[in-house]
Amino acid sequence: MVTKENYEEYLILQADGELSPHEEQELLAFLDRNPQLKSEMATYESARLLPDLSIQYGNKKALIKPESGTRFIGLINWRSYGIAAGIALLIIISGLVFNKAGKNGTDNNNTALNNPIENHANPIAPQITTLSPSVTPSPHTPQKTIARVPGSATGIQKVNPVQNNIYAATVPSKTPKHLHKEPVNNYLPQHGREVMDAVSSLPVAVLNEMPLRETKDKNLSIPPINTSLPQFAAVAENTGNKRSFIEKLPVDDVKKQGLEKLANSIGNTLDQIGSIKQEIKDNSITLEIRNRKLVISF
Amino acid sequence: MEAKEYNVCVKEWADALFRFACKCTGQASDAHDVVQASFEVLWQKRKDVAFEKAKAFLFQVAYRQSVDQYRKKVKVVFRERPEETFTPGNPDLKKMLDRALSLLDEQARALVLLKDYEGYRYEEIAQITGLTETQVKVYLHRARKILKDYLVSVEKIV
Repeated sequence: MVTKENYEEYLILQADGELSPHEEQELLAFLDRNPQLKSEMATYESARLLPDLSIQYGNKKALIKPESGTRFIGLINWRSYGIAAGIALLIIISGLVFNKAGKNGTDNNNTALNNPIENHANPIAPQITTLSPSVTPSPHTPQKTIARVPGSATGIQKVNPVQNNIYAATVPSKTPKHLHKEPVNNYLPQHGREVMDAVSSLPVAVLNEMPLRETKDKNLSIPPINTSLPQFAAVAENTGNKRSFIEKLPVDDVKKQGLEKLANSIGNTLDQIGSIKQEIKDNSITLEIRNRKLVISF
Repeated sequence: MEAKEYNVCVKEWADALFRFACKCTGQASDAHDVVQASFEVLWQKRKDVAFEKAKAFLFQVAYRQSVDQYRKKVKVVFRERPEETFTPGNPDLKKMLDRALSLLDEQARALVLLKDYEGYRYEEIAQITGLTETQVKVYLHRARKILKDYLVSVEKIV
């Protein structure tokens, strides 16, 4: 209960906002009965401090800590990022093309594929694209062809690799009996037959990764076959002097072909990038994220 | 409390903490150090302090730092506050209250600031300052009387 002895405590509690609603009603009733104390109540109310909002801490940035997981997307240097992305894309594409060319180079050993016996009526030659950029991938590992020479110690002689073109008959090692039943040159294209004619009288065996010895029999030497390369010749004509550098390189033809294809791919990619760049310059880019559109004009 | 919430604390309460420290220490440079130290302690203890309790924690640290700094300075240098004369043309209530506040000791001043600036209740002030609720109530009542008496005396002069 508010009295003249304790009213000041109630006034302070009222100024501090610590009175309950019931106590507040009691105090107001007391002040109504003693109006001369209302000025004292007003003095306590005015003695409350108010914060000066103009005083602010000016070094908040130094207190801010980095938040993990926060990602900032910088759009200021987006041109630089675009160029970097284009270069990275070019490198990736070049790598893919180079790998493909390398694989084609290994498959481009003109390895003749033999079909099962049931299909040997159809020569395998038409299925082989000789020195073509797109070579049918061989399901078999390329194997080395050796000729069995009567009278030799092992009876096996290595066939000299043919310059420029190697026409080797590859027979699955699981079916070596085919070699004895069917002449190998039936599976070969025209040039392959010429090669194999030299050893036609000899049985042929196929060994996987077997150490080979050079033949000393000159009769078994295979004459080089100069086969024109119509497809690559056409490519060379189209590319003109640009390919002359590649042709002069001291590497074998397979690698040259790979380099030519790589150069063609890079050229095409550069052309595409140039066209995209021109389109970007001619038009504006519109990014639509959810319901918001960002239009960038040049 | 995560770093993100800590940064929210900085944005929300750095100014209030600085104002509190300014009034407690009487020096902006000291208040700057108090704010920096308070947030540094909060950052170190962020794993133990919930976001809802962060403000009270900050003021608790700032209160202790401010009181310690004030007491340390009073021990080193005694500076008598120049008595300002009041003229009828300078009846600014805010300035009068600032002067009245300087009459309080560091603890009573901090209690008044916590009550008036931040609106804490007695119970919360007791938690921040480490006093009992009764002590807070008694100290605050004394401080209010001093402020009121000062204002009344000034009004009489004016």
